[in-house]
Amino acid sequence: MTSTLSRPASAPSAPPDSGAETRALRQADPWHWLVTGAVLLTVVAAASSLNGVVEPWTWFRPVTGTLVPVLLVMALVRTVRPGRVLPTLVGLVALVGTLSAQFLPRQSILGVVPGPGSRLEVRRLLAMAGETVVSEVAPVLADPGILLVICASLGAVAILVDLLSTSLRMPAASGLALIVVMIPAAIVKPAGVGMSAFVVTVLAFLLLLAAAQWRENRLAGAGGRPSSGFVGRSLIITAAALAVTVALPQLIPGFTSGAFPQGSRLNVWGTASGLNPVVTLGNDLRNPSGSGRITYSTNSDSPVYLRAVTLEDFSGRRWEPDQRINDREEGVARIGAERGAPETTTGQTIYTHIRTQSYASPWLLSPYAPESVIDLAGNWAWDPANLSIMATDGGSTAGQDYLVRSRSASLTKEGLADVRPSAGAAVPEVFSGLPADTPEIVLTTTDDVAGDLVDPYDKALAIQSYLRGPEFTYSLEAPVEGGYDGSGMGVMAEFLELKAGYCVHYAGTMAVMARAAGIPSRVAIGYTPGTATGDVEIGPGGLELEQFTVDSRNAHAWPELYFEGVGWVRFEPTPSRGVVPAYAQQAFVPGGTSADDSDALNPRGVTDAVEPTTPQTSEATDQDGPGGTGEPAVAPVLVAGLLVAALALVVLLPLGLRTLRTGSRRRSATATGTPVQEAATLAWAETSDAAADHGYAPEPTETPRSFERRLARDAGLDGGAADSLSRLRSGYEHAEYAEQADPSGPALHPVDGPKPGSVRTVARQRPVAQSWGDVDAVTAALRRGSPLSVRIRARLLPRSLWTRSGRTLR
Amino acid sequence: MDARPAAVTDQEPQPAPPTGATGPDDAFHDISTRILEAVETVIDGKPDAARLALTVLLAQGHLLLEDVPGVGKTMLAKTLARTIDCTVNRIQFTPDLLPSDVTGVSIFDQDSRRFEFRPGPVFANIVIGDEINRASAKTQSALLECMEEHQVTVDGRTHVLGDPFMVVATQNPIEMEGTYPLPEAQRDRFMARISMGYPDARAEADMLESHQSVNPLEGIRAVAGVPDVIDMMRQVRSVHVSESVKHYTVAIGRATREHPRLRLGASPRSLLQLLRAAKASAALEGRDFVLPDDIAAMSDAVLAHRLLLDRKATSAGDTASAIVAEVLSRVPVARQTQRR
Repeated sequence: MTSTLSRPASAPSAPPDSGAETRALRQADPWHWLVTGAVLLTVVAAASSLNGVVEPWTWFRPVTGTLVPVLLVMALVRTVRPGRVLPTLVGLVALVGTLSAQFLPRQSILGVVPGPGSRLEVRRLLAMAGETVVSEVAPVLADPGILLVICASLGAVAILVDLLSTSLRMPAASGLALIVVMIPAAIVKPAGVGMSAFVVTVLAFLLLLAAAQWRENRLAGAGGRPSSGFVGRSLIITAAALAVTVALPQLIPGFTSGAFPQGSRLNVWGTASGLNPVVTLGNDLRNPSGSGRITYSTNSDSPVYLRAVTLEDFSGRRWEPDQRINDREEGVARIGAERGAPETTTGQTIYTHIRTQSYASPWLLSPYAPESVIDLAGNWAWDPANLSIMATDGGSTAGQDYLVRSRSASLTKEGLADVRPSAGAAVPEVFSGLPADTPEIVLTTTDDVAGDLVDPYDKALAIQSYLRGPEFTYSLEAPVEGGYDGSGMGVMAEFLELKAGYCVHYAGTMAVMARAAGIPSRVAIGYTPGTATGDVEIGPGGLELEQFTVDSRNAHAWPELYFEGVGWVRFEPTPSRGVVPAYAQQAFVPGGTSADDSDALNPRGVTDAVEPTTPQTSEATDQDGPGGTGEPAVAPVLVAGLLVAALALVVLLPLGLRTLRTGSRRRSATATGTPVQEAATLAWAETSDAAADHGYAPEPTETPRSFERRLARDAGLDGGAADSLSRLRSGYEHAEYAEQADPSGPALHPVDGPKPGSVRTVARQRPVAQSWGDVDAVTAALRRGSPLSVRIRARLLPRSLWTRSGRTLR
Repeated sequence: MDARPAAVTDQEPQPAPPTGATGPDDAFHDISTRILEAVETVIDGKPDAARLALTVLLAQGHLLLEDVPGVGKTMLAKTLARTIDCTVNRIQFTPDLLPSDVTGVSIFDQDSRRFEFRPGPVFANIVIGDEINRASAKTQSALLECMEEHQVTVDGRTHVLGDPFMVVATQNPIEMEGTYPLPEAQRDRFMARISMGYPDARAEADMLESHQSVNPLEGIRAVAGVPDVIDMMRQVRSVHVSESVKHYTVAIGRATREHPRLRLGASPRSLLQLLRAAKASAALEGRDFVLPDDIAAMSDAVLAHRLLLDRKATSAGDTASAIVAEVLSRVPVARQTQRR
């Protein structure tokens, strides 16, 4: 009886449901594993461009340790449940897990779940990375902070590339993500990305494209040719990659010659900035524009060296200033005596009015030895060990205008010559110790130069004379291999072998040799006296302060040696740079070329503070260009330009992708030999996307006709645009629903969609053609009918990039 | 060099070359147009009903017209029958109608001394079953068996019905007194059910005017013969149904079966009939392929009378048509290219 009828269970012969379809799709697509494998290779290949940005291959293990689990988990999830959202979300979770396991093992629960304290640790690691970025030149040491940033970035890139290549099946577009990986290398490394990394990345990318295309063919059930859109996108991406590797380095001054050992001119954190000024010193010297102009006015009779910081710990691969945060004393209005300084000192009290302008550094410039600094903004603290002054609140010297009172000790040759060797207990061990790995050449050279001498002053003079001798050549470019531009005991040994380098090498080597000879030493970083402007200002007490200007080309390093009872004494071993103090001049210098340096560097006839003019300075003077002293700094402009360019790239990325897709469809649809059905499908997909971009996204439950009706009504399409839309819809219907036996076109082609049931509107077929002009007409009508805000959004944030309609085609 | 022309041009739209694909021909179009125009001269203001009736005829189904008395159900059936030069019989179903009154009887012929079969009114190309729900269940079953089997078996002998064979049954709503509602299984035999509804004011006024003096049926002349209709049915059968349309149809059927307010969803047979009706609808549109729109357009007429609402839905005043509409608004339209 009918009353007993109930809903029947699903019959075995029932058509396949969506679950079965999903299972079938899953069973039919094991090839996504291949694509994911290719994604792994491609991202690792792109990451190889980081060699030189960080120490070569130090990134490899943590990066693969991050990428492999993430991509493996994504592929597994995709095997169980194909889709876009779930694998991506799981990939992100896996990324967090792998990062926790590698970088936050102690703060993680079960090793993979970030637990209490993770946030602090991440902040610490990020701060460490920030310091590294700010204070080091490439290749930077792979500390945990940098590795965390690299692993997180590459993990995110890998997820994006996998999403694009595997889930969205747009592998060509994933090339843009790979370009992002190469940008740091293109900006930081002197030679750009480098040919080997570029070739490897391109090959891996082609492999990814091939794997994805192979999968497409498998899914399509036939071995077809790659679509022209596929190839076209690939070519565009490759061109963009070439632009990054070739053009971007050209945009950054200093890369064009390719002669510099390493390190870029680009310092996005300002001029000569950083916790470790020594590492950017080489770049500053090579800067042809002399950025970071500083002016100072002083009443000193002798050339004023503006000192920022000193290096005294000579252990480790790179020398870095010791911040000694805990030992510092807050407040610089009154600065006490330096440790080891004599109780009573004679000398001139010097007032120096300094305006740093755009020079940004946590270390304050001041003449040695400062006694008081006033008019300074921010919190500053001074170090009793070396009298360096550092911002303690994250501030910097940028835009400071302050007055320093300092005392210039009266030093004479005689006074220094009277100093006898001592045990050196007056200063801490860090100023006199040599690391265990001190190269042999340093010790033997010291022995050769000063082994026969007894008094520290004689030894110091001997070492200075040796370094200023004819054997050594001042050169900014001589050391060409990586690592030489920095500091460290190895670099000093290499300098003694090459006998060519610049102030960092001279000063560092003299300091090391002095310690080998038993004299405590340190390397001071700062500026040579610079150039007199001729202006005079009135300082405290009516003193006349003569004005000088310095810029990055005056950046300098010099050794300071400690003499018991006298204090720290500046020497000048670098030929052609700086000024040899009167007490350090030596009449019997072997080769005697530099005894009159002070004359050459005399800004006022009595003091020595002009640019050197000896032939050995050609590297420095040759680079004086129109952007020299007095010109606005180039670096900030360049940085701003690059940031704007990067921002523009990000903003325009959706527009670019959308344009690429449109162009690809257009080329495919208008290509000779493209089947009519495929062309019509492409044209309709583009039309649907254009509608979606303008806020009329097709609903999944809409048929082409109902979508056409709604679009024409809501967007106000009429006349030619409505006809075009109708033709496009009709062509798509034939492609999608008609029998495909005849590729030449449909026999029946109603122009108008019928109103169901309407007898009088039954339309007879009349042939129409497909034309990309129809797509253009509809798109133009949509634009005309949309307000400006919608038009802008449609261009810059096209919704079709992330809506389902975009998947109607690859 | 590939000699094939570019599929799409950058220039303005140009006429495509004529193609030779098969599909409904001009005769199909002409005849169907004439039939519909003829029906509209009698049934004014009901183009949808007339078109649906023709659709069911071409899809080789049977039609159930359900509505209150006096809205033109029988007139529609008669008019459609008269536009075709074929045999037409009308059965007025009453409570005392016997099955043999429908199918025919065997009578002993004294001369030949043999039983001779006297065909009943069901032996015609178009059978109009008026007020089918006034007959007993037994008589209803006899007719419905003929509809399904296209044959009549009496005294062990099978008599094949004519071709085409279409039953156009009318029934009053089951709330009316003296009616026997058709069981669900038997309603399933009807490809489509339509409600005529009242004509609008203008059409009703026209009707009063035109029907006052003459019987409009008298002016109806046959515009097509049986061979024409058979050929049109053949053309409808050849209409192409793509995989995506089949998937869409199946998805609609499954959605009705899984619908929380339905006790009984669409049967596989109903989906088959939906597809056939959609093919006829497409052919009437001049297409040789079915669109999802055809499926959607036919869904209410083909599916609604087969669905059984549960008590909650019934008490809430839901209707099967509303649920079909809701299902259509939820089921995604399958596309071949998306699965590629």
